[in-house]
Amino acid sequence: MSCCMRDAVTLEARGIPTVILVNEVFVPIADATAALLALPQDYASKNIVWLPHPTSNKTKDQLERLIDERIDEIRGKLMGRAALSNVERKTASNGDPLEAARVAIAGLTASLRADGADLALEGFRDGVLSGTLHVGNVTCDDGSCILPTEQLERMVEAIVRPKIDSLRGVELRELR
Amino acid sequence: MSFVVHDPRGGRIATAPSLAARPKALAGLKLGVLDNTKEQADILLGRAAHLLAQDGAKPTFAQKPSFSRVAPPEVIEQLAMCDIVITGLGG
Repeated sequence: MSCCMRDAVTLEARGIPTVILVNEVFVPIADATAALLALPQDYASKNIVWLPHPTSNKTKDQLERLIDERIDEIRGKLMGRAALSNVERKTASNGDPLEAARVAIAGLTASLRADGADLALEGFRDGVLSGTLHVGNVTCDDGSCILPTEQLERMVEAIVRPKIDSLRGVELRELR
Repeated sequence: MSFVVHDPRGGRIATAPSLAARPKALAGLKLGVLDNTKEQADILLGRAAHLLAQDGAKPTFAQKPSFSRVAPPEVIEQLAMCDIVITGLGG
């Protein structure tokens, strides 16, 4: 999906508004790629239309329905007056920072679950977001498919920071 | 033994790229549809193109050789003749 974003940026630089369809599970990758490409913080919300993951197991009718439900958003984002996507709507509808953080990392959480781990955010106090990483029966032999806790903390912080102005840090406890 | 680990996300850009001005309407615009060849991308993009064509956009379809690489220059040039583009699938 990072290549989709790079293509979009190339086309934007040529003066062509470009909208990307992306599965929600790739929110963290989109955020990381946007940072690498020095894109504005609101790039994803203005130019990406999120689809529920996975799409690969859906029928043609189901896939077309996904687009039917989002065509106003696609049209709006092409014209720069986008309606909020489902992901953004969930974030915007709740002023609770902990809930906003949980919504923001939903894609990351789904990725971790696919590898046999679970990340639960449990508190937000004095600007510090806390939670627990439960590492269960991971899908790789040596556990290397799960990022070290320190790296996950930095990743969560990067994803959540644009959503919570008062965020000072992230502390995760690892349970194996 | 030592290993060199490459960052798969590619290089970092230091300055913010410019984003294109948005059109006020879609009627009469050339719509580029860039399929990155990921599974189901053609169905999703095809449906979007079909619906946007009902707004008066005129779709033209392009496909890049691999979803894991950026579009080659000839594909970008093909799309550069369009007014707006949709692409995918990030999936």
